[in-house]
Amino acid sequence: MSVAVPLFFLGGAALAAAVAALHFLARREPKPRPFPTARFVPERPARAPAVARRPSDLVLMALRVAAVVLLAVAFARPTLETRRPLGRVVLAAGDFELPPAVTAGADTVVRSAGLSAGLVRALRAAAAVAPGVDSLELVIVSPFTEAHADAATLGIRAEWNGRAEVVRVAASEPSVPAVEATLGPDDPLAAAIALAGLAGERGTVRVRRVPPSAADSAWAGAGAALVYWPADLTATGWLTGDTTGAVTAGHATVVHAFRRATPPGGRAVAWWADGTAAAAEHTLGTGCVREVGIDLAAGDLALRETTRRVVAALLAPCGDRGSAGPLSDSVVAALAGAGPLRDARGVPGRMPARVPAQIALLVGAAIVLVAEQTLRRRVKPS
Amino acid sequence: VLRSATDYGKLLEAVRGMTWPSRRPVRTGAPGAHRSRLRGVSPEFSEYRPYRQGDDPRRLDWKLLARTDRAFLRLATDRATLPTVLLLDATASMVFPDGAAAKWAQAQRVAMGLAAIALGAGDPVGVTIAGGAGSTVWRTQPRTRAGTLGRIAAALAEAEPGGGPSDTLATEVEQVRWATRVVVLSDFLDETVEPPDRPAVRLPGGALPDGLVAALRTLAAAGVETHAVHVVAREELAPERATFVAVDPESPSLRRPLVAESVEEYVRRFAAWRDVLAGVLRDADVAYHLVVNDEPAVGAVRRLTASRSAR
Repeated sequence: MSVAVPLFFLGGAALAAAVAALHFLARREPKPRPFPTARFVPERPARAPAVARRPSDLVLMALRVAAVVLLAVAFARPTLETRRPLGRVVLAAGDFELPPAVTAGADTVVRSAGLSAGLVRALRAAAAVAPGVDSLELVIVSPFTEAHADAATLGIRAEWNGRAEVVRVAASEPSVPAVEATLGPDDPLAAAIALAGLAGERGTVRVRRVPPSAADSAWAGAGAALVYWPADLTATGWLTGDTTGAVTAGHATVVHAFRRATPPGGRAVAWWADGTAAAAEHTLGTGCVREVGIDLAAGDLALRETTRRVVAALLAPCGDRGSAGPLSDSVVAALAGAGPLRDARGVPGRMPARVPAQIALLVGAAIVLVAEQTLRRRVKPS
Repeated sequence: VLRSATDYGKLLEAVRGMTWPSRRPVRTGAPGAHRSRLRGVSPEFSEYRPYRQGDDPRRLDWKLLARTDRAFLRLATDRATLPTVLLLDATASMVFPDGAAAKWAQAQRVAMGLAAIALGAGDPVGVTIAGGAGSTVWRTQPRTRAGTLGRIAAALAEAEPGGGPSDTLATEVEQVRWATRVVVLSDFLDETVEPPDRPAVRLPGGALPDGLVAALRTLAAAGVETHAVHVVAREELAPERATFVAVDPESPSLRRPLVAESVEEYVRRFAAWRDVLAGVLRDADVAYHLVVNDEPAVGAVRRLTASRSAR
């Protein structure tokens, strides 16, 4: 048996002892004794406090002590069930394979695509686990990328009053979009696509090195991504006549002395070092047309890893600017939190499980008090 | 239990040879040990006084008349006896505490000591005991004959203290005006009614025994040598701190709880009452003596007999 507030036990014991002592110190008329000069004794009530060897009104005393003890036990909130010290809630946020070591010993495992939804589920799961444990441990398993978090994540995390264990795992490989490209064998873009593993016969992304046809536009308007990546930028009129030192797309940056070419209009999806757009995307129907002004013809540029990642970002489906970046360390630290584990007694929804026992004790104390009142009236009718 | 004179053996042995001179010259009486107001024919020469018409010519100093031709009377101090009455209070309040330590037992011892001394001086001694159930009076007439002390002891043993308050003792005091020395041994608690018309002597906790005090004052005013022996118990002077309900044995309806907090006030009230009692009696020329139940009776007797004796 465990007790939520042991202080009530001590207080109840002290109060019960005081009640019993009062029955030994009841006001009664002391023993009479002949005293010839009694007339000189100051007048005062004949009943004076006197200590008795035996308590007065044993039944009344027993009822009063019982009432005090019942009230003290009720307020102390005892629990008879065996409670474990720690409950473990595992939250798996993201699409990945949960390591068995993480789920071992877990009371419940919550899976969710995002951290916010997962935290909400974990909070609900904690209410079910809390009645049997003293503390709750939250284990958040996730790749912790920006795709898994949103603006509400930290706010929801704050509802969990305790620290959490953060386990970072690798995200599952995203589905690679198949890129349809009719390119020559010497085309550096073909090499880059091949190195990125994007090449395919039919896909949702189509690459054109020449101005797209009406069929291409119609195909893009049906929800696909048409990428117009001119082989010769001179004919496009995008060149500005100068060079720039790097280009960034997605989370990759390629450093090279590029000829600056700025596709007109659209939403920038790649940027030169000075911030001007290196690639722009135009919405077309439910799809899009992406125009890229990056020349990959120079040297081994197409073979670089960074180039491969830039190409992957630019050949992503519509609206996808590449794989999400990792959450910042401060956000991850905020998710981990600090301080002690969460106290299971403070979990909403845990109390109702104990209320019946406490109510029973309070009802018992009330019954005892009613009996005491009835008996007192019989003993000393007013 | 004191039942005969032999039970007072140590006390009587201790008071042997003690004297109890009168506080003032005795007015008249048979020749005895006490100085008389009269100038008589005793061998103890006092003074000369010129002869006046009517004087007994037998008291003329004939030798002086023959030598100087002047008639002078040769005066001598007379010695007279002092009839003594001992009045004892035998109400229930005197039976406190129980047993040989009771105030009644101490009064018995003191009375026997005084009686023995008075009888030793040739004074007639009688005892009157008032109290007991039904306000009984035990009385022995003043005698000097042998066996008087034994009869007094028997009367003291016969008396059974008890009963409620009464004015019997005061009545007995009023009836002994013929005596020349009266000793009242009492706790002076036998008052039936508190006198509302005497606020000067009313004190918190109890009034003076008006009837008895008045009788003593009257007696002293009549020229009787009057002694008031106030017998108190040690427990009354300094009660124990234990809590109990004090019940007046003479008025059981008077019940007051005596707790530790009220002891100090009780002691103060009782002391004030005793002071007033002593003051009233002394103002009336009544010799006041306080005797505690646990003090040696010999000491109390010695203190009584040594007070303000007349020479």
